[in-house]
Amino acid sequence: MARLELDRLVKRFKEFEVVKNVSLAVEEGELVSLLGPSGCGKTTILRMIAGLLEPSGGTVRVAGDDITRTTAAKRDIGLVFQSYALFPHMTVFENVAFGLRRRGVRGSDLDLRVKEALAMVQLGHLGARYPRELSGGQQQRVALARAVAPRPRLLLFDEPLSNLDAQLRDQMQIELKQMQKQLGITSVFVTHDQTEAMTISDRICILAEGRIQQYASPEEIYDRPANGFVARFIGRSNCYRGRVEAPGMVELDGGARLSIDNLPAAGVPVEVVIRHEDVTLLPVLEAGEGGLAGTIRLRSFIGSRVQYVLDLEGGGEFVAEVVASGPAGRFGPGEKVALRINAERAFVAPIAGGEPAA
Amino acid sequence: MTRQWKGVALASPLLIVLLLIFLTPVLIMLPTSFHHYVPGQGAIDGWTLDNYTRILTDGYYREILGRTLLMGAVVTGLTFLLGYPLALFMARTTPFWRATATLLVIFPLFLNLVVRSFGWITILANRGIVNNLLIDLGIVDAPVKLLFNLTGLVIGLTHIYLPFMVLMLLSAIQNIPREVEQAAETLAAGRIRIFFTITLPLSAPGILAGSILVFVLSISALVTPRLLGGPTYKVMSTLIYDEFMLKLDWPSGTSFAFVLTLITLMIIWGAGRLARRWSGGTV
Repeated sequence: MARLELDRLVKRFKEFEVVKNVSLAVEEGELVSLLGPSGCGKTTILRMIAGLLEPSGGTVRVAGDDITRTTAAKRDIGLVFQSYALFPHMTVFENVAFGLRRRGVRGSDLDLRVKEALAMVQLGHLGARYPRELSGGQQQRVALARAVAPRPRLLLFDEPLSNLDAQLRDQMQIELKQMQKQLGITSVFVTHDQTEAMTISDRICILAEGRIQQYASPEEIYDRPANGFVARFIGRSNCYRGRVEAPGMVELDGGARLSIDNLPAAGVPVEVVIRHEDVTLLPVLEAGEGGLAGTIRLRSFIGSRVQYVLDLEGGGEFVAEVVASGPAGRFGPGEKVALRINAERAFVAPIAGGEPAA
Repeated sequence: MTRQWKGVALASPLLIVLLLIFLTPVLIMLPTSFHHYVPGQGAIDGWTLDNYTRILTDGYYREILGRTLLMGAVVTGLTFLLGYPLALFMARTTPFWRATATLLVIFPLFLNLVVRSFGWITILANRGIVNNLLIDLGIVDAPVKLLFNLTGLVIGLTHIYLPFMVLMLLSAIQNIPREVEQAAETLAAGRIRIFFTITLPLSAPGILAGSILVFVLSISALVTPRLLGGPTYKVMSTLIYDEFMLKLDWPSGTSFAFVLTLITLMIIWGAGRLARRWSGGTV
């Protein structure tokens, strides 16, 4: 168990900088996700922590020790790969025993610890099988058991669940989080799936173009995105560009007007991000004149919620998601409705240059 | 038609050709091997097992059989030992070096077999390049015998069949996912242990295919043993050739050929079983 620290980590491939000055601390026993679109450098960072890739600059510290130049074999880590990477010529038992043997565990002690690790992933009865005789989900469990069996100081996950089907993935997320909490091993989890990151992480580190965009708890990232990229990337949102027209009023590029507090000075171009669920739909008669209004183009029923695609009055499109059982769940296509935006939850920021696009 | 029969149907033109040009001669030859041979008359009627018992009881033939199998084993072992590091390098290097190395490996195959064997004669002969060098350097007083014995045959055949081994090993090593080796690394295994517990067993399919190929080609090679072994140092292939073409003793020639084939098949079967056990059934 140990605290992991990345200090100004840099990775260059030829001329191209893939990871740019990433500093990050993972507290003891914490599970942190590295989340970002493909090519954001998250896997590169993980491989540098694992020792499979040498950083071009910066340091990796575990429990205060500088391990930047230590080989993977000497780092005392467990790594779970997306491809499972099981040893196909060894039985499940031998796969799990591999790391234990390297650490000098022998005889009945070995037997005990392999069985314990397999029991943890509910595969105690399959020790004699070969990996090719198991399903994908079972193989990933074996990979997990193999990684945790030696009780490493650090557990690393490289998109371990993305090869599994949706239902199994949800189940594995919960199991994985439970196991990590039970063992208390400091963990880093790479994923491109924000729901997965939200589900399992204590903290999420959002990356884009090799830089950290925000490093905070799931709640904070969802409620208070640090910049436009995070606001657009997390959750499902309507994104607009516009201009501050007067204090408290934004004119969107389509022509629609929106009243929001805490705006920059008039005339400043801004971006506005509104989540699908941060809106209330009302019949036009009830709402009265003057607010934002639109016509429903599409209605989709998605279980507990209904999703509408609206054409805004004055131009532009808006996607709204409302509770299916509420009064707003019963509008039909062609109906004209008023939109009450939950302005406190909308993200507004001046458009700055050089920010990654989502 | 079921899927399986469709496959057979698709392969049938080739199967028919193979049947005609391979199996038929074998079936015609089989009875010949049980006939007596009388010099001047050829194979005569009447059945006998003598042709088969002779190769196992007569010391002269036993020695040739043993020598052939030993030669095959040594050539296979040498091509494996020389080929594996090369194949490993080729699998792990950049595409440019892989292409360059592949070209260099298969380049000798462009040369005619007779020319290559003659090349070895000029190098290995008593007054050849190697011996001249050894004598000039004062390492030996008299020439070392490198021709017309096992050493010469092994050197020549190893050179000729190395490309086959390398190419078989290369494709097997390239099929090993890098992540499997990296997984072993994160589980605290050092480089040497990773090689012997992961890389080597996982390249078993290539080792098996390459070994069988080189072994079978070595013990059935005719031109190289003839040239580098001379008229007196015989192996099975040259012996069988002489029985047929010089002595016209077809019954003996065919029986020797069948004995060699049988032993070869047994060795291939045994090697397959061993490889399967060693690689956990992944072959």
